[in-house]
Amino acid sequence: MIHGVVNANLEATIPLHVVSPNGLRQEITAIIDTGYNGALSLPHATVIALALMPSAPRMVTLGDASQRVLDFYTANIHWEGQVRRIRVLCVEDSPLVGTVLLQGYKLEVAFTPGGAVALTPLSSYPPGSSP
Amino acid sequence: MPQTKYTNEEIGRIGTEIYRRQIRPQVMPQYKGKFLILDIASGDYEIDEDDTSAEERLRVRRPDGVFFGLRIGYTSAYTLAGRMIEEEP
Repeated sequence: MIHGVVNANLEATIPLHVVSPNGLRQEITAIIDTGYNGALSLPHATVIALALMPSAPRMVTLGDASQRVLDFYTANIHWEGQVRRIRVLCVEDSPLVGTVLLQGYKLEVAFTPGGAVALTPLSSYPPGSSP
Repeated sequence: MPQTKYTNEEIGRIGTEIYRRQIRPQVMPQYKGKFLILDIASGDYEIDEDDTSAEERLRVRRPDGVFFGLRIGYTSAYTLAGRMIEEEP
């Protein structure tokens, strides 16, 4: 189970540890964005600080429905005691957690500043009660 | 990913052109929704449900390739807009 908090802007956030190929490690606070169907986005400064390995650029649909070819990188994250290798989209914004990382989890958010955010693995639910 | 002389805009333009002209007729509709990683230098490509796997397989075969990623049947590989837009026939 992963715990986070709703911030003063009413954004549901969770803490994440991102690890670079050479072992650099940084804790970030990422906003859960169900409109993003990738894994994670990070701003350029974080990508540089962690010396992440470049990946193939990919076409991305932006918030205004326009399309752009944007840079992607490879990173490892610590996720529930395991290391996951993921693709990271580089955009100048707060870090975003997308639905690739939410897959297989139930998301519960108390939408009030300071409210609890919880990601619960669906497999931990008794059979038949999973959505 | 090797250094490349191409800008992202050029990679997107060349990659989209190769995809539409040479690849799409062979992969649509049976692979719709899967990721496609394309080497715009050779035209070689890999398809997978997981775009990390597709890219890593192609990198083994094309270590110096200039890669571009998209999702078959859609206008982009990923969206920040809450919905994927289907490509025009």
